[in-house]
Amino acid sequence: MARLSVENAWVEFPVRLTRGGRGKVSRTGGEIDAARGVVTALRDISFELRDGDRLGLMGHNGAGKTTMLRLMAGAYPPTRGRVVSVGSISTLFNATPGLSLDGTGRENILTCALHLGMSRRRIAQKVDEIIDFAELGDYIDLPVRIYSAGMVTRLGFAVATAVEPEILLLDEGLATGDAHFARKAEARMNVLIARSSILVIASHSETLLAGMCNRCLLLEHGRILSDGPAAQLYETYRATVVAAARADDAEALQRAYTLTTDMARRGEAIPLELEEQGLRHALRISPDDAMMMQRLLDVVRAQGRALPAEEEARLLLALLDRHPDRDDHRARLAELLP
Amino acid sequence: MKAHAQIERLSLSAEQDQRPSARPAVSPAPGGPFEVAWADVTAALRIAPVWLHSGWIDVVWRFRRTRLGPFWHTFGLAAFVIVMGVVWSTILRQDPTQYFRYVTVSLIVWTLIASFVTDATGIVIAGQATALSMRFPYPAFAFAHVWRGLLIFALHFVLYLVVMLGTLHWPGWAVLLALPGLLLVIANGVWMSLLAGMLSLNRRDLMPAIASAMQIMMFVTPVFWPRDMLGAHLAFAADFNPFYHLVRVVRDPLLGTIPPLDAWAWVVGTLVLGATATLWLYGRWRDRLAYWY
Repeated sequence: MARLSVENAWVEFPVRLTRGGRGKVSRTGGEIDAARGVVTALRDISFELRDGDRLGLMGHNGAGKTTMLRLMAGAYPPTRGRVVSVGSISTLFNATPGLSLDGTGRENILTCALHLGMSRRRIAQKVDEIIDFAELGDYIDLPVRIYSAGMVTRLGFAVATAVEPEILLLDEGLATGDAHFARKAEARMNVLIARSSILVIASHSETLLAGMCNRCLLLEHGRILSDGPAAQLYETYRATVVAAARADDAEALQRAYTLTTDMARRGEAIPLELEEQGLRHALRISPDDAMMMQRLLDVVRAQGRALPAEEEARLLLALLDRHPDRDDHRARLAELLP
Repeated sequence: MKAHAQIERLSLSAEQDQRPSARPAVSPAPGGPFEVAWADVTAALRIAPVWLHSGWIDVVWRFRRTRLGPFWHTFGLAAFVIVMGVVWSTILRQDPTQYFRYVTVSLIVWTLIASFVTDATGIVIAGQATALSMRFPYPAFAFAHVWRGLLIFALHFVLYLVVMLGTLHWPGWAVLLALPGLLLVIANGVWMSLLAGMLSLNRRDLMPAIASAMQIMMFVTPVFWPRDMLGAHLAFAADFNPFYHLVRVVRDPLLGTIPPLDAWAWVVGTLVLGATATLWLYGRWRDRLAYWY
């Protein structure tokens, strides 16, 4: 019976600030409280996981995903509230515990697996399987110093997933490595999911989370924004952001911008209404960007809508200023200004 | 009454059936400072295979790309001892062979004790990947460090045997007292390492500060010269120096003299006071340590 419950947990980092404003919210990261000298990375988090739960953690960079995993692993004891876990825990974060560049792959398997809580006998039984899975071949007896970044990741993944814990915590380790290894890793994950009783995985990829998890938490600035099935979660979140941004809410506009750029970076299709709000935010920051102006016009038109006449006219004038030869803009402007 | 006893028995047996991993782990750790600290010390002892291995493999890895390997420790010390033996026995007007043995043993013991403080400043900082991946008992870092220090001490000990054989000197059965002396030094080393590691994690300035302080300490403590040379006025500088007594309980037996009772008392006193203070501080800070990385 594995169980993991987080009860009103806060994670607050002490910082020594040389100077700073009051409780400002930066674009990413937690809230900075200069008066108390703390950065609130997680704020009043509560949820409970039981056998069979597959939790996905979503959120932009600095939303608190990794901190949340470390909180669950017991590495960060909450500054307020508490975390209670029943069952053995294994983690795969960006750094593998005990890994040394001077040791060979084989030696590091022993060191890391011992750190992760495996017994020597168990490691001896599994070492060939780990080497085989990591696809290191003859490199296994060479120092890790000369490994490529992908090889180190594969080694770490192979060791961490050999532990077979009751609670497994993963931090987007699947994204690294080539497509072939990513597929293999996903297959291994599915086997592990079947065996371990609780899985928590932090990732930017909605598709990965939608495929693996039955529950998702969306984090922003160290708070849980929403809680539900993966696929639905982002849609509802986007809808609320777009609605608030349409009402000219500054924070929502900024969120729309972050969502848009994140999706663009990952090469996902961006919903037009979201892109529109993201562009509006971007144009507030740099009002002279002709490419963005043009894109905003296109995005609005593609939705079969029109901007308020005054705003559209301003955009068209600015565009014509740069490209006087655009007759379509001139014609549209004439329509708008009788 | 009978039913009550039955229920009690049932709940007891249910308790016994639980595997250790099925016990709930609560974070932050409940209980007072000593309770928290003691729980972590026992947890660290339970994972002995981890720190025994990491202390050992560290020594192996550190010298992986050198030709002489860990014996660099022995040769480095040998060179130091030879130079010191020749120069300082002349300066201090000491009998060369006797001074030679004195300096060799002193340096071997001092290196062990100093490593528990100087090198320990980095042990918790170096454990970042481990400490931020799981609920790791920090005393295990101290255990690994002390174990590593003992392995290097064993390499240095070769030099002791060489010098003793070379000067044809048999220290007598008093040499057996070095064993309890070494055990006391080890026990002291654990709290010193943990304290140094913890403090340096929070205040990084302590790393260079402690390194400098220990360097000065080496010259203040009677290591290169006998305590009597301090004279009556300055003798207190040695008598109230805990490092002097730590050195003595191992060095004197190895040279064939029985350490006086006050040396033992000092070493036991440092152990009790130091360990108590360190455990209390650890218990108070245990749940803050991860935030200091």
